[in-house]
Amino acid sequence: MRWITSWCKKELTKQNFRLAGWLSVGYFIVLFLSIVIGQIDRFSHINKNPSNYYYYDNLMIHGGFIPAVLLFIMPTLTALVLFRYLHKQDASDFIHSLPSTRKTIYLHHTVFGIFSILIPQILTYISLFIVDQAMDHQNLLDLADINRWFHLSASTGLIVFAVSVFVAMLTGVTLVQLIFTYIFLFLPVGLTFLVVFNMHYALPGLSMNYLVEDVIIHFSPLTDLEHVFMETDMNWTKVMIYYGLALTILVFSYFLYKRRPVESANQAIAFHSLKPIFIYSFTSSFTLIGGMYSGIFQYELPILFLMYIIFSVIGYYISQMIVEKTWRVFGKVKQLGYFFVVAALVMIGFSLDVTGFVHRVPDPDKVKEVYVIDDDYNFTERVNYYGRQPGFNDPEDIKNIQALHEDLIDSVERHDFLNYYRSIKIVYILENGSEMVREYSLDDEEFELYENYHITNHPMYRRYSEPLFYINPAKANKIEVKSEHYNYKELKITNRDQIIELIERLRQDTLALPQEDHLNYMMNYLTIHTPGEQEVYINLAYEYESTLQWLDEQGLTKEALILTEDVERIVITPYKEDLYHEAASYETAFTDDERTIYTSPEAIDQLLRQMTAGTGEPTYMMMVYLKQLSEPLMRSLDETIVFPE
Amino acid sequence: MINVRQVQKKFEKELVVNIDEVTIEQGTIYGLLGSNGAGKTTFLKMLSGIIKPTSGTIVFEDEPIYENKRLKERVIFIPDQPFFFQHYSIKQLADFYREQYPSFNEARFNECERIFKLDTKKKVHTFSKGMQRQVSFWLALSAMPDYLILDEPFDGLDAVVRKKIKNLIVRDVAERNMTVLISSHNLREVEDLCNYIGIIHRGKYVIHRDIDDLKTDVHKVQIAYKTAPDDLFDAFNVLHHESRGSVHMFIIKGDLDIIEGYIHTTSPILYDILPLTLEEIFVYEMEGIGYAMDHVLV
Repeated sequence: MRWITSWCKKELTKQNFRLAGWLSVGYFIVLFLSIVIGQIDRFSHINKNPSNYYYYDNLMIHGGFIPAVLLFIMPTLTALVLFRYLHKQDASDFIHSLPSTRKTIYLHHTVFGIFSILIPQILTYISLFIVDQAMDHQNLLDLADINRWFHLSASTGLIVFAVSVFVAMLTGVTLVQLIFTYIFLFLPVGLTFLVVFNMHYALPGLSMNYLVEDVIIHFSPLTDLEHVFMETDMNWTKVMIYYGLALTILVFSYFLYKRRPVESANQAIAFHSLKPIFIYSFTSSFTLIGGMYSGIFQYELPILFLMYIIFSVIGYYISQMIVEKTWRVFGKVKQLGYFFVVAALVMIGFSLDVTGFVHRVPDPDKVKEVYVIDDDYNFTERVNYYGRQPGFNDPEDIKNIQALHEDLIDSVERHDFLNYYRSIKIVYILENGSEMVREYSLDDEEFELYENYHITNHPMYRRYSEPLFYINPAKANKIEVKSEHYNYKELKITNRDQIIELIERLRQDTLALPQEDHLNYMMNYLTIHTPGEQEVYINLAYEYESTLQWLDEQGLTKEALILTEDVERIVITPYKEDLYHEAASYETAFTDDERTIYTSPEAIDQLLRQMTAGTGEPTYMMMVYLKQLSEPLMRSLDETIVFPE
Repeated sequence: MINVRQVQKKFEKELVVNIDEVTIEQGTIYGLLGSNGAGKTTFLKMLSGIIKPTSGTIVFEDEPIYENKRLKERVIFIPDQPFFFQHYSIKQLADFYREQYPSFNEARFNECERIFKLDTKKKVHTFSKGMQRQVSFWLALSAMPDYLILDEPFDGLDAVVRKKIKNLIVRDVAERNMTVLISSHNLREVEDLCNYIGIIHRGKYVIHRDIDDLKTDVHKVQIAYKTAPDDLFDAFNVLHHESRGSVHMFIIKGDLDIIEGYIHTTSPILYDILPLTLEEIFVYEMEGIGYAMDHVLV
């Protein structure tokens, strides 16, 4: 204890409390009102009305917007007021004239800052714990939820604080500290995004999403918000890394503090040696922004280079103005000259693709698996949710995909990435465990080339692309078959054997299905429910032959599906856009000559099988009247429809 | 004792302070003179351990001052614009000083309260500039430092308060052998207080002298001859010479007796040895080494 008392200066702490204590107190009040009171309210609602039950165990979400925003504002403000003295010459002189070493001063301020962030969170933690113990809440909250909330809040708060302290050391101006705290938090993603975007000009096939979403986004809690707020399971490794990173940044900042010249108060950049680094980084970032600006407006290549030049000049002079704190910087051109030379060399290097990035296709023998992904978002979601399914691993398939890859390399244009084309991603998992990822934006012609390889029909592709193959049939507890129109038909299957059989049939059918745009959908869909997991949704089509046959065998068809016998009549009229899809308007807008009414079971059956013929330009409107139901089901059809005799 | 050796301070590429060697003995009241921008404040901040010299050493009693907690407990720096924490009263500030400086003396604090007659519960920021300066002296002197470093301390103080503060300082020097450094751009402001004077110009020392030595060392001789000898005072260190007809005025550095002895040998019509003001001494001294003193002597 002795070392603490000798080290801890009560009056200095008091002074810190006068400066930053109000932030801490305010933060606790907000946390208490939004999170603790919020939980109490939620539980009393549920106790009063148990049907009002909703289960969501993420306290971050329950707290709402304000505590989430405060998690990024409060630590920054704390660092801002605690280290304000560094940025005022008189205060800085005074503090450093005191008989305290820089270590003592730094520790006082950072430890105070850490406590002023943690204490409100700890108090909230205790309050939540008491609420959890004292209230009857039907297991809506448990210690794990509270722990998760606490560690996510604490690690995020600390890392924001640490970054802000770090920036405080680098600058002598508080406003710069404020702005650059957030710039630094965005920097990993922002800079990568800019660099990758601009590299696309030179290197077709580069996958931006892969880099940004899979790797860099996790580097900063500010860009990792989705994970902080949405994850139902806390990623302990990440939390530990955030804690460790916060500590590392604070220790590093201490060494900066020791070396920081006191006289740099009021200077934008505290360390003389950082000035050129700042100027070149800022200029580079601006140049890259120029490239992106040019990309967004789809400028041609010469304009792109003009944009590079204009933005680099703007960025260069802005950075000079920040560093020199004056407008009169236009005489300084030497560093800009150096920048142009290096930037030109880098651009030439990338354009010539000196590393052979563009044409690289891995050696088939070294490839363990390949994924071809044309719906990256859902693929990533599935992998994050269920884990990975095996990809193509048959040597023939790998060869086939490599042929596709080489075709793509030959056909894609540098500018393709700027267009909102469909994109195809090829992910090679190599024998040594590393990944090689390429992504191509394909125009219609190139997409046709891709389709010619029939990859989406391949059972392997189906296996890793359909959620149906990811779920564990033994865990599913319910399958519902519903129909889209007012739930005209509804069937629930809860028998375990039936569930497992049905999933097996569905899988069989899925592997054998033709391409998606050749399917003839029915008016029925099916959902597979697994407790604690997302449900799997399948739109039934006539091509699910084995499934339909199974339903028939089990005698469930009549109960589950809308069949020909359920249809009273089908009316077909020309399509009129201004009538919208209102049955009554369609009924009255046309004369009997323009309308055709079908009532024979054969005609109805034939029409029902063509309900999805609506992908082209709408020409007809089909209204299906079900028995005992006044409102018809409406579909627009294109001209490919074949009318019954 | 303060010892400064080969100290340089650069702000970026600009050399602001460049001092070869200066020693300040215990119990000295040292006046540091120089025009604005001469590097006085930077030098004092280095002496107080606030900023770190780019190169060279500053030691107090053989210990470096920078980052030296134990030593800094005995050193107080009062800047030209006194700084106080926002919204602190004198009492709260005293609590702060009491914790920082172990030698803080309650009796002295109470004594100062009687001398300065300021409300210790009022926030310091509501005081006038002159009153704030008094508060800074009050707190500094209560901490009983062995080294007191003052940057332009008497700006904005009226004559009465100035006198009170000077008395307090002199008393501490006499009683406790406190060492005081005072910077000023005005010689007259500090000449009655200091016993040592240093002048810096563009970061460099031009003079570093004991005032008593100076006064006994430099003499103003007015002398008249019918025909003056050609080699008059050639053997002496003449700082300045003027003549109006047969009357000559010499400023001579050297021992008074030897000068008088020499004068007798040249049999002048009449001669006078006059006292010099400190200001005159400096003007002539600086002239001797080729510096203009205009701005130091406002």
